Amino acid sequence: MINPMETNVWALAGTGLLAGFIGSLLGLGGGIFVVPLLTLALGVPIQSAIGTSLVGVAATSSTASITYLRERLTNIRLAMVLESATTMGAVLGALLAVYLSQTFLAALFGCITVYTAYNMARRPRDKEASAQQSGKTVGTLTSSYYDRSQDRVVSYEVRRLPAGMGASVIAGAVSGMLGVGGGFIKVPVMNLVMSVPFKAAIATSNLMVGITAVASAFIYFYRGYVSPEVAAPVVIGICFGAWLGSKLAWRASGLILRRVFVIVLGAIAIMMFLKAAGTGI
Amino acid sequence: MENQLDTIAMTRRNMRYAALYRSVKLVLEIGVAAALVLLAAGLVVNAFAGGAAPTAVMTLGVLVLLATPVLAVLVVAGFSIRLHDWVGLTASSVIIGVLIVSLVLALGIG
Repeated sequence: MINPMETNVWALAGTGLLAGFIGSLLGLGGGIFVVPLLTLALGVPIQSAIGTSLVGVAATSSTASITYLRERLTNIRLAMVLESATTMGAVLGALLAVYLSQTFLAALFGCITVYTAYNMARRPRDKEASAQQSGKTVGTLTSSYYDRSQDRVVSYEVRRLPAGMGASVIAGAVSGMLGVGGGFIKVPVMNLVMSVPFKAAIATSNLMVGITAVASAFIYFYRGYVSPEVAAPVVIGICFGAWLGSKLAWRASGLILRRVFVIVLGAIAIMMFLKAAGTGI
Repeated sequence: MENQLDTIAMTRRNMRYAALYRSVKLVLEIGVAAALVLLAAGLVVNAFAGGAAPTAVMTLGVLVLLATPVLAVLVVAGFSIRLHDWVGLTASSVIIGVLIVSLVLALGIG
């Protein structure tokens, strides 16, 4: 449990702001930054950090989805179909997490962080080029959107739904165990395996991660791992940081952002592995 | 004639889908705004007065935030019935079912 009186409100809001800002700039929900910042910098127990992060993920997902829905980038039907599998994984993950040791969770978080850094280090062109065009299509999930940067309507068919459903269960379990949105699993799977264009995959994943977070957040909330005094400043900070990041994102160089992201994630992974090994920071 | 009827049917369906996007967006906008107001109000009162009331307001803010995506799924389920979209209805019903199970589990073991 957290004693909110011992935790500075400004430090919590700053943590949320930093996570929201970096997350928004790099196209993530921010959960992957909230958990290590709360755990390593502010000494919040990892289960409480995960519970708080899940509330933050619900906030960023809802905020970002408003823009994506306005642009009609989100494939709502695909989101619902995949989310039906993800929510099941999320509930299982959340139930498991409270029985797992802090050492195991810290090590698992480190592994997931390394995986995310590896994915981001790869050039985006490689992802587009290797997108699979084979496999059975699912006609009912076909969609289209207007791409402003290309000034054309992009239509696409969804392929390999069973593989996508399987990956969604795993993404949900990881989300429930670690308090992250799981977008770093869903986006590559939708793009590389299911042939969903990158922008549509990000928008669809964004709507999904909020629902996934809620599925496990209920369990953390009623077990006392979500303190309103801690969640309030973190969530307000995340929303403000995400808004600030979205205003600056289009000005920043994608390549530099990507490199900064990999370096930050590498540092987080090392710290989480040290925590798992009992060395601490 | 048949083509024209198809076009009209497609247009009506597209308009209903546009209404779905607008409705989900509206639910998210109202939910996030309400939650942020409650959380901020609770924090401000807590800083000056303290006590149980601001904590209750912040708790309500967290619950509104958590309820927002759930309401969005309910809106999708409602529109799926109007659009005779059985895939969408089945998927959104499964999500609502799992969320209810999650809530029941949380209450049972919390």
